[in-house]
Amino acid sequence: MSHRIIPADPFTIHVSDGEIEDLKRRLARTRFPNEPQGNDHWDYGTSLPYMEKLVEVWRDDFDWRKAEANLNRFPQYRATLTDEAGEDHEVHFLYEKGSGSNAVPLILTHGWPSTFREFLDVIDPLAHPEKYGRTGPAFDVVVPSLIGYGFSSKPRVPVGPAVIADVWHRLMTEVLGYDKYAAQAGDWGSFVTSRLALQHADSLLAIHLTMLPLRPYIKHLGQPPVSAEESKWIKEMQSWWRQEEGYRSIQSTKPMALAFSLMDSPAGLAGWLADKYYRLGDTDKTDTMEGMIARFPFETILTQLSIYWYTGTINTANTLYKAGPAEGSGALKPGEKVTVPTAYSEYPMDTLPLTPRSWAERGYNIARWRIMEKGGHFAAMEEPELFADDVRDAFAEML
Amino acid sequence: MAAPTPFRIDIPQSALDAIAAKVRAYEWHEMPEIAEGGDRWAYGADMQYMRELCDYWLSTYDWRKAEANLNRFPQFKATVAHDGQNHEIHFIHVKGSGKNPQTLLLTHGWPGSVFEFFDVIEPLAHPEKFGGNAEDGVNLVVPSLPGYGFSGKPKKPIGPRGTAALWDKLMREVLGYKEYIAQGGDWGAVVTGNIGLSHSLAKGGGCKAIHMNMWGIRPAVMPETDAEKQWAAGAAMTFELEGAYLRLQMTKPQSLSYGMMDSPVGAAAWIVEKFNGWSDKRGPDGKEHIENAFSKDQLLTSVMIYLVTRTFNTATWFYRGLFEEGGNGMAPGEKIDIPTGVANFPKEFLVFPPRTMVEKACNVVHWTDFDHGGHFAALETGKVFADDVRAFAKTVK
Repeated sequence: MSHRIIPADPFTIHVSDGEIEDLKRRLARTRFPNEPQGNDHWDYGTSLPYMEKLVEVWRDDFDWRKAEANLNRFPQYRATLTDEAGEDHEVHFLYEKGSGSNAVPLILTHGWPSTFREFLDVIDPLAHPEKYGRTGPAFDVVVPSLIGYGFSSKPRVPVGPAVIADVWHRLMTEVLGYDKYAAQAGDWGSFVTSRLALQHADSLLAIHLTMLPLRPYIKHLGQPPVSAEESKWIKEMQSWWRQEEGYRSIQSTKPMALAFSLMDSPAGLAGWLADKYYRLGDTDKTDTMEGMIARFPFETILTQLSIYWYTGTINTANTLYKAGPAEGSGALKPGEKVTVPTAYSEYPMDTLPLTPRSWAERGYNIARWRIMEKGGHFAAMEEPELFADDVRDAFAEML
Repeated sequence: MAAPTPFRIDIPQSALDAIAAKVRAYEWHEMPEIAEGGDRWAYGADMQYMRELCDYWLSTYDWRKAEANLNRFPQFKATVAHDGQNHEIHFIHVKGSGKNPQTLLLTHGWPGSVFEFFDVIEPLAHPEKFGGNAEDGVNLVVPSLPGYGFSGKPKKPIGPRGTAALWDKLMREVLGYKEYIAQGGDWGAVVTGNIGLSHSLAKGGGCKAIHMNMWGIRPAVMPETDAEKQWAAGAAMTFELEGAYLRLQMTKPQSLSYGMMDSPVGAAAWIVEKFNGWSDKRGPDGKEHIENAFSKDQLLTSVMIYLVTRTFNTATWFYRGLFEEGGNGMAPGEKIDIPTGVANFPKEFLVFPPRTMVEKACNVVHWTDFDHGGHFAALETGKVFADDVRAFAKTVK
């Protein structure tokens, strides 16, 4: 075991009464837009009837104190970690030690538009499988808030996944004292986790991903030609993105054109983010209102939105889309590959075509491949039991 | 078709107070640190400038003065039907000097309004007041696009092709003009191109010539010469760096609208970022600053027109409207036959291709390259813009 050389301070979330009152006042004076005819299936973006309901529940029914207590039920800390450029970051993380003496250290990283809340319902099943009648390995579960997200600090200058990966490595080795550890993630977390595996391969036992973010370098001799299946998939993905990429496009070029409204209007924040939950979650898209509420109960989605609102982090969170590409860390160099054993589980977001395994193997050492029967982009929140079992089984196989 | 009814802008004080209260309550936040001498707008709207603008908004800006200015010319509303939907269209209508004036239709774009044309209306209608010849005066019709400013809000998106049909009806059936010249930049250029293509005199419409200060409607021709290929590569790069607002507004305008309709500072930042990015900001000292192109009053009046009418949302629908109409491409072999004028301003962000390429699709009879000016040419250059449009109108008289 390494020496623990960086201290971590215990941390508890507490939002002041004044801030709660201020949010309610803002919600009460929301001025809603109109909506074009034919938006029943959110084709023009977030549905107006859904937003009216969400804002009403947020203002009148949602109990932040209860949500806060739920978030505080596991031990949390903050540690000051310095990145390679010498910038200090206050990293917030939740840390639940697993049962037994052989628990496997596991860092779970969320993405956008999510927070550490995404993993709340899988922490206990992963740390203490015996409580759930499971026999697999127990994990020491570490769930950080991305830099610029939630209760972590806001960077002075935006940082991307490669920088965050180095900070995560310091968290695991120098704050928590582990030599080797496992990692799991989707969305932006999967970029960070893939970079961890590339930059600190010797320390990573294995990784589990629900998104495969690194683009392989396909124009060199070691790579087989793109197959017909891959080429069809690429075309389908491009066509899907043409319809869906507006948010990414603006956040990756002009996040500060958008930020002023989202920092001022909680309804604006909700309208911007709810679209992604609807679209990327495994929501029933026939009855859109009921489908959305069933998949993302108000209590969970409003906890996510409230974390963004109370911490005032939507601006710095969105800017990750500009910092990531600027860092150039999303593409593999010729011959570069993630060698750490990688489990990939694809959750069906009925809008996205399934990834060809041959494509995944260009960039990753794929050790396990699963197509899940239900769940979407926010799998740990949507299907916690399925997710926890899959992650536990995957590491049991790979370790 | 019903006769147009006179219209004056008169915003209730309560609406102005509600906007001011939200601007006053704005809680400023961080933005990425910009190195000394770096572009403070590199991430979007510069917060330092937004704070300065909002201070001015609350301390000095006077909407009632702006409103009086906007009411300076005769305005009307008329209901025009298209594709089974009635559209309430707001427009300015000024009769020109001279015995037999031609008629000019000026169309604004996004994020603009009829206010873009305020400094060119009199010089065009009454050149004799500005040292010109009364016989060169033109009748002016300056409408607000559907869903914009003081026009009505459509029930679902309408795009430039549908608007071109509306405008031709407005000119001929509502106002009784048998022929007219159309001019525009931004969406106005796309509407104008569509009018030239589909509503020319030869095709049963009333348009006899068009003048554009942006390359909007796209012919089905490939770049051939080196200069044309270079232009195409540059245009593609501009779209990558600058096209995000368009991608978003064309696909998910509704997801953006909740924030923009609820936060006046948020909408101002989204709009002012475009005024900064697309204008000619070069000053006499060689440095660039937004106020070399626009005064704070001009910026705030442009923003306030969206806020007091609550049209931010419906204005963005125009992008979706284009998408639903099938884009801004012309069919292979299609050509605009009527005389076409081009005003090529150096800081336009969607630059014109080389003249050789424009000529493959348009009957170019007039082409001016300017030394100064950008996307909001009429607002930025005033007299220079008016002189060019007047010269073009004389060419096609």
